[in-house]
Amino acid sequence: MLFETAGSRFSPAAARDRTLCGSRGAGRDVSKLLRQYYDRRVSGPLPENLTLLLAQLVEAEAKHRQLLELTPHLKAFAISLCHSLDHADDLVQTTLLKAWSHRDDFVMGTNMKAWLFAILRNSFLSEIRKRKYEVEDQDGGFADCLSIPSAQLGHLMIMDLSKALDSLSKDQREVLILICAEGLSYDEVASRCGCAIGTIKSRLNRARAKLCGLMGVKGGHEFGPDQKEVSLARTPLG
Amino acid sequence: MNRTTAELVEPHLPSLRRFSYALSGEKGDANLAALLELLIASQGALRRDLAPRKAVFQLFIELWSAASAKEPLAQSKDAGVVETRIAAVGGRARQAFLLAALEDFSERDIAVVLRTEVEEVRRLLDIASSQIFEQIAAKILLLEEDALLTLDMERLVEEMGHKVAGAAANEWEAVILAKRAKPDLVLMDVSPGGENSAIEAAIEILDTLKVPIIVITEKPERVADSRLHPAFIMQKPFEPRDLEAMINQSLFFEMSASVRPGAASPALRRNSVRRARAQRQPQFCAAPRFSS
Repeated sequence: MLFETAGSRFSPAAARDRTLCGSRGAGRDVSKLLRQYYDRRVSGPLPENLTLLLAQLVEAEAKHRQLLELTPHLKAFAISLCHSLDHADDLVQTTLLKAWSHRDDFVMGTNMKAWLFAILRNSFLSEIRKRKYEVEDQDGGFADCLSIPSAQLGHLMIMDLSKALDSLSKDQREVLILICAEGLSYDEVASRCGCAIGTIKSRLNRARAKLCGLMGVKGGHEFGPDQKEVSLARTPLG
Repeated sequence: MNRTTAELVEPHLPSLRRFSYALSGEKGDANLAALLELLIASQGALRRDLAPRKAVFQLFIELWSAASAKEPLAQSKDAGVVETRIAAVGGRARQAFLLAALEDFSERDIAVVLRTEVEEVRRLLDIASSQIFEQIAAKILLLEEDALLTLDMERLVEEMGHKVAGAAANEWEAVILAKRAKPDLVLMDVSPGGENSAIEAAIEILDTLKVPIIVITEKPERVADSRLHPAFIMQKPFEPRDLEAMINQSLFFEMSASVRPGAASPALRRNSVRRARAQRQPQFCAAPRFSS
């Protein structure tokens, strides 16, 4: 071997054994020489673009952390609006999904709580609007949305969600976000994406199924409202 | 205390930057930028179950392998000798070599970083060794004041895989052989009682041939006091393995020997004697000099 690494034992030179390092002590010299050599070529402070990227990483993480810290507050707010735990969970998720996909819009240092509460309130209101006007949609637009039972919410970390989202195909992710986070109807999404409603529905199903698998939710039936919730959702609010 | 991804990554950026340059030349910084962008999009990509340094290198290599492992090393116009040496080593073997030789990872840690077994790491290091050795295998000229020792040196050199370009017993033979054989390295023995003829021969050889010179001697101060400034000075007794390392390093880095102008000053003599006495280890030149 042309050299020995720090962790390998010294062994007597075999006939075809080459040495760049020699015995233990001299071995460090090669590393030192190589580092000396390369440090003359790549030295000094980090170039500006890398420093910038590092700063962006710091900011992205800070936003994550804040989102996590605010989730319980969001949940409390959602419960006060919905009066139903499951419904509140759905609402919080939709809100987190929206906030996550618009995270670049949020300026660090401004009031994230207010920003999140606004998103949640708007989601809630647009839900109500949709229920009032949803006549043709036979499947129930909101009821189809991302919905994880509250038992699973304990395991739901925003990071798992973002990682899981990343692994969806571009088409699937787009459909999921447009329908569940932006609250568009199937029609609107179909025309925006330029394909049939059936395609949109099957993409949505596949996206949900994939997310199920990735986030450890057992079966498809856990990943959606039960019959009772569906009928409740259809009831227009007084 | 849960550290952020940025906190885990930042301390390793300078060495990662150096590693990236060694791995992919001019594209080094671009590849590092790609890593940071990946982390911005998905901080979960950095494993928390590994020591941070290993996790960072592992992720970087994964990214690099996916993108550019098959591409040749993008070299700048002033790429030096080491870049040329490294460029001759293929993808994964190059990664293993640099992780070991440049970044000082143990074989076990390299196995973790490359997501493989230790046996595979050894195999890759062997491949890197042969590919590098192919480039540096040398014709070596021996300058020996003692004929008996010459035979020993010839055997040693050949066992290392190099060739003996010739063995000179005196100053004139040395100069003539050097001109004729144009060796890649000169290995000379300077005996304590000698008359400096070997040293003078070496100085004359350097007049016309730019070549690393390694001196083996019992009395390093004889050389330190002379006008000759070799690539390495090796004190007897020595381990053959150490000599091999010095020879291969000189060839790998294309180290130079040179001649100091004028006669050695008294102060120089005092210091070099003191230094030689203080060391019981094989004595190497304090600062090997690169020719580029």
